[in-house]
Amino acid sequence: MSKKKSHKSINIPCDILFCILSRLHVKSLLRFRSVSKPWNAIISDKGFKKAQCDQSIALGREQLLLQIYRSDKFEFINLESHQFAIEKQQFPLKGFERANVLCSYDGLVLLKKRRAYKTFVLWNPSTRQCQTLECPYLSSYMRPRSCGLCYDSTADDYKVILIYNSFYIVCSVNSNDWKKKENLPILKQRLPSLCGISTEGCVFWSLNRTPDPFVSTTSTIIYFDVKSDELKELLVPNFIGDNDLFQLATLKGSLCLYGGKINSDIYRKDLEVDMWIMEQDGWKWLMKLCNVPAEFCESYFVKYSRPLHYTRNGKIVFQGPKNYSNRSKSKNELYGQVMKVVVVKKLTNLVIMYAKVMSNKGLRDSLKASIESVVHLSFLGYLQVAHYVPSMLREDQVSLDPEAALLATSKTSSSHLLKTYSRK
Amino acid sequence: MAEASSSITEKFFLTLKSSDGDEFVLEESIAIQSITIKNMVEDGCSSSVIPLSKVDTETLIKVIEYMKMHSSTSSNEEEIENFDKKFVSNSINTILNILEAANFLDINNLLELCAEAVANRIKNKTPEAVRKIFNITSDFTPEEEAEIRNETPWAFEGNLDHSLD
Repeated sequence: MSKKKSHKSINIPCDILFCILSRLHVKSLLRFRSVSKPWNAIISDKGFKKAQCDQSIALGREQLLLQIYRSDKFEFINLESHQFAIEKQQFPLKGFERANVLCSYDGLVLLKKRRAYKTFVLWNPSTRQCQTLECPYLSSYMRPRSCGLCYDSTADDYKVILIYNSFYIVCSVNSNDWKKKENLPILKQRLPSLCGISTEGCVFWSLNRTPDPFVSTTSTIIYFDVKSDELKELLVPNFIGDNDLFQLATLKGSLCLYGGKINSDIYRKDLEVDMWIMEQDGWKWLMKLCNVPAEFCESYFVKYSRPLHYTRNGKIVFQGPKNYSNRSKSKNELYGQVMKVVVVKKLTNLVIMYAKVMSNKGLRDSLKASIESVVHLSFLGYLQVAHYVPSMLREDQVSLDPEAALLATSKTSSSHLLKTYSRK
Repeated sequence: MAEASSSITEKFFLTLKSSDGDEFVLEESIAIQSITIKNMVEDGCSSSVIPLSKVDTETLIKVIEYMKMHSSTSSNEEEIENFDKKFVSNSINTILNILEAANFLDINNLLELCAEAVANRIKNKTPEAVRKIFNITSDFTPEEEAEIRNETPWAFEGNLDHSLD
């Protein structure tokens, strides 16, 4: 029988090959570009890269990117299973040591050069490529209050949005086109303090009213619409009441709102969190989160936690609030030591929670998620955390070898786009 | 109640014919997991034998096995999961043949299962092993190939798998 198989030549049709290849990891794909010209053509195709990125999400390959604050050490946690596979990577670009992570989308990570105000780097850790971006509009030191990354499908380009106190800046990455724009009036009073939540063609930020330091309620959502190239205000959905605290997140590539009523007693134990998801025809209630462990059961939960990932076997992964009790303990231990210790590095605990989603048989379409397990990871130093989807996107525009990239930067006077190098 | 359900589920049978000329009789409700067959049934082609000229006997047996296990009536989730695990442990050539059949018959679940299985099997392989498995002769000049390899040398590092299955 094996004889019969061996002389039957396999000639895989292109669409089947596309199906197989789009399910591979980036490293395998980069290796398989050398299989043959047709394989290289498929793998280098932009449509393929987008499909591979979507497939990464569908196959549960979303990761959590961790940067130990002020270091070049990056760690990537695979969120699909309890056994975290932690991959480590060093930020490759010379001259950009200890750059700060600002935000991430579609496998691209935006960083700001340390101690610089107008030099940014777009990094794809999976392909290990970088591209520097130089903003022409900033003349003095200013740190962006908030930022976002999104994809413009009509121009096949990525846009970087940087929000400052009195204006915002939009950069089209391919064309290196920068625009400075007037802020929305509402932004003059309140600024978003987080990185934006990116979905297809839009970036969203929630503006939180802060009546006291512990509780904030969601009053406004703003978004950047790639079609109009502008910041706009989004009508707050009517299911959000005056005293509700909601946060934005992405789940399966869609915009997600989660939160609930904030009781005046911030330590109440019966916390229930609702989750909504933005679908084509508007907001759809997704589920209720129950059984939040007692140690997290306060209004801090909504403020400091966020859903990260929907696993293939029906679990929702949350990034939990920082574990304060744990941190103070490590502090005491350190204080107990000899006074010689000059620099005390803080221990940061990253809490990851897994919630099992159960359908409630009594009610139609009623889903409940219940937290099953909590994982504590400790890191020495502060952590910068971003959601990351491994992809090959933007490979063609970006310099391939960091060493060569360095050469390219030193040759061009203004450390302009490294793009010039890769275009042969 | 029992009577009503038996009249609703009155069984229709289809005959599928492989490229090797072997005929297989299958319940219609199971066979229409294939959109291609479903369309043929809806167009009234089901009275006679359905010829599947692109699917050989060995592959068709596997596809029918899969469709029987995945038809809504019989199996529970755990059984299906175990079946799928065993199913994708077939040789990579067999899976590629099933994949082609799934594409022709338009059985989406089977297509996804096999595509993912092939991807898992080849992910750590060397380009040379992949060429042999897919029966590809490289059309790169040695210089062109070296250039591609030099763009991402780290992608060729680590424990790569040279085996052909």
